Amino acid sequence: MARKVTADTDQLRDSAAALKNANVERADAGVDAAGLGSRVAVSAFEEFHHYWMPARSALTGSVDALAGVLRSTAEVQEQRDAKSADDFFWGF
Amino acid sequence: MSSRPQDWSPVGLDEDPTPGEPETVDALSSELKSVAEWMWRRAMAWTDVLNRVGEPNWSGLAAEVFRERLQAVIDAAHTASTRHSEGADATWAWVVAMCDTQAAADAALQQAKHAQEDLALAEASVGMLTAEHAALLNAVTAAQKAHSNVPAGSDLIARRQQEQKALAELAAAKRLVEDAQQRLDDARTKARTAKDAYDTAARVFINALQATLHGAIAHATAPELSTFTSTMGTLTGVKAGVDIESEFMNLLTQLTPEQVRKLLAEDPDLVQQFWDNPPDPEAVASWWKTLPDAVREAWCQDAPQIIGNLPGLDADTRIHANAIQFQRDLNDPTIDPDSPRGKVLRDILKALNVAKIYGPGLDYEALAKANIPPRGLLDYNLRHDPPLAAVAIGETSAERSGKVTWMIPGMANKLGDKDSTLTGWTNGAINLYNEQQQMEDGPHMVVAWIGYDPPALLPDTSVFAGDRARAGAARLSQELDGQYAADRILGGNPHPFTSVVGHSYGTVVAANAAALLHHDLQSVVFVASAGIERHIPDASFLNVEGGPQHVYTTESSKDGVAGLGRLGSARADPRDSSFGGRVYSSEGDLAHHLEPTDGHDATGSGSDNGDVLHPHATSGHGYFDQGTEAVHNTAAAATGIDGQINGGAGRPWMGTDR
Repeated sequence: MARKVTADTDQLRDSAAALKNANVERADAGVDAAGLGSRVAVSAFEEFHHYWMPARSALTGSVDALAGVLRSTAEVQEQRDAKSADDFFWGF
Repeated sequence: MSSRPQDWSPVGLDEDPTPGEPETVDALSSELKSVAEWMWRRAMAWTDVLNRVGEPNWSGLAAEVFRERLQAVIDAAHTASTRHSEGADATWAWVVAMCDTQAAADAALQQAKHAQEDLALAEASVGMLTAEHAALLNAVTAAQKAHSNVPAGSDLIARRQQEQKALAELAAAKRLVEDAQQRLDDARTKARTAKDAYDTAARVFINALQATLHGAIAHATAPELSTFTSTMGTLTGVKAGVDIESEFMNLLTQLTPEQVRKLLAEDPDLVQQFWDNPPDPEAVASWWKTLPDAVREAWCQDAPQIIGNLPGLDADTRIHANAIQFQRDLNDPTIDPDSPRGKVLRDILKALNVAKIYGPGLDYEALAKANIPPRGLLDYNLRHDPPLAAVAIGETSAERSGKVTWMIPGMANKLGDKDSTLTGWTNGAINLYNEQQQMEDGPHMVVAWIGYDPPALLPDTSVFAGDRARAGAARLSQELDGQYAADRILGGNPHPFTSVVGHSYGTVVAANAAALLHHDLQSVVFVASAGIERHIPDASFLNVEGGPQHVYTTESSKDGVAGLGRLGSARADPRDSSFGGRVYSSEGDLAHHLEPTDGHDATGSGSDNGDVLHPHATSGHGYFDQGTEAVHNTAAAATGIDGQINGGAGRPWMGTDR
């Protein structure tokens, strides 16, 4: 039941970088949907595009935020560890 | 880039029946496939990160919230990838259909053009031949008149032959016209067929694309991302504990109620984690004691699902917090009335005796408390599967200066199967409470607890296994230690009195819990026990003040079920001499107006006589039915009033029977 609380800050930083690296936006090919032919087909494709484009950018935004959280967690953890060591040294 | 024909009049159409550029559509399909693969690769890379930020590299509350969020993002990326792949497939099917129908339409157009050319030539030929034939026919007619009285000469014959030849040529030309017209009509039909096939394929394409429009992750606005980052920053700032329980305690002491509310909105699973790993009850009680009333109320409003189920808090607080959450759930339109949650909501209303009163503005906490005896919702975990709950009956002041009894039910008491399970167990608890009130001045509080997942009836054999009992005991032991902390620290009670009464499989739960406690109980009572697990060889292994003399047990001679539970599980009978508890009667004593128990049930109904084939107790003759010797003696045993146990509680094997 009891679980020990740990944080490997190097691993957190590496993970933040890995998240960021895998989060590079992809350039669209810029294909003109007008070639789809009928107006209803073009309209359907535009609907698909308008539905999924925000979702793609939402993923990117979320992962950016998560990478930031990992970096700040590593910093806070190291500051805390440094303070603990300092307190220990000064006998608190 | 293909160039489509512009003039479709030969097939009788105003515009291209199969418009579109297959090369462009092919490129779109490839683009969607490429996006799907890119999204999948990203999800794989993020999954790798998810594994790297798992234990042992990172653990604790912040880590769990982070992983929940990252997992949700990965799931959304997988979904987006799948939907793009489906879009690519639909677009590819569309380009194939477009190519086929365009080929057919183009062929029809060519055919029509040729037919029109042939038709024009044939019609011109017919016109010319018609004139020629008419002239020849006139010439033949004139020749016939000139030679009307003499046999026809060679000139007439020649003219007639020319006329016949022209007539044949005219007929052939007319056939050519008909043939060309037929080919033109055929081409036009083919063009319309191609258009119909194109339109059908377009509808299939549109429907397939529209079917992909689900599962997208909600677009996180900048403020939302900022809130998440801020929440994580707050969580990271929470001082790490040596274990998750102490980290939960740090969370309570270092975050504001509003911050916890936001945290729960981000990660609803935290509620269950608090239930499974509650902080040390004494730390909880000590923390709560320092809070001003306004802050306590803020906690109840912002985090009722945590506060209402937090061992170490007093019953009044927990009942208040749970009433807040209960009221919210009653107004939640997403809870299907026929679902287990919906049934449990109705069950709780009945158990609190407020089912017949309904209204959005009603204060169910006050209404339940106004009952005689008062009632309140002491445990409330609707989102667990199965839902879990407990009703407190009587005076909550018993925590400060009275006696508290926790009642643990056995099999077939899973909440959510029907809407009367908690109600039935509460009714038995009310009977026990009433007996206690008659025996001595209160205050008394009895808790009808269904805080675990009880086994189902036979033929389900889980009643023979101990895993449900061990899981239930883990939570119950926290509740009982929490009761001690609430009584002692918040209630200022120097001598808390807490007993536990188990029935059937509930005795397995109760015994396991009593063996885990940090603080002694004052009484443990096993009613119709389905057996005590072998790792508890005797009553001295239970944390009970005074030892085995305050461990009681009873079983009616007409109960044909309890023994089956022990037989099937090889668990021990607590009435055995080796166990060392004290046995009291459930047989009834008509001289003292005490009814017998004649079956295994907590509360009897119907006309069964308690044997194996008819295992239920008859109406009024269950262990916790009003007026039975069993409920009377159990009430006495649970409150430690040995002198009120009818016939006494003895050790028959030592000659101290009754």
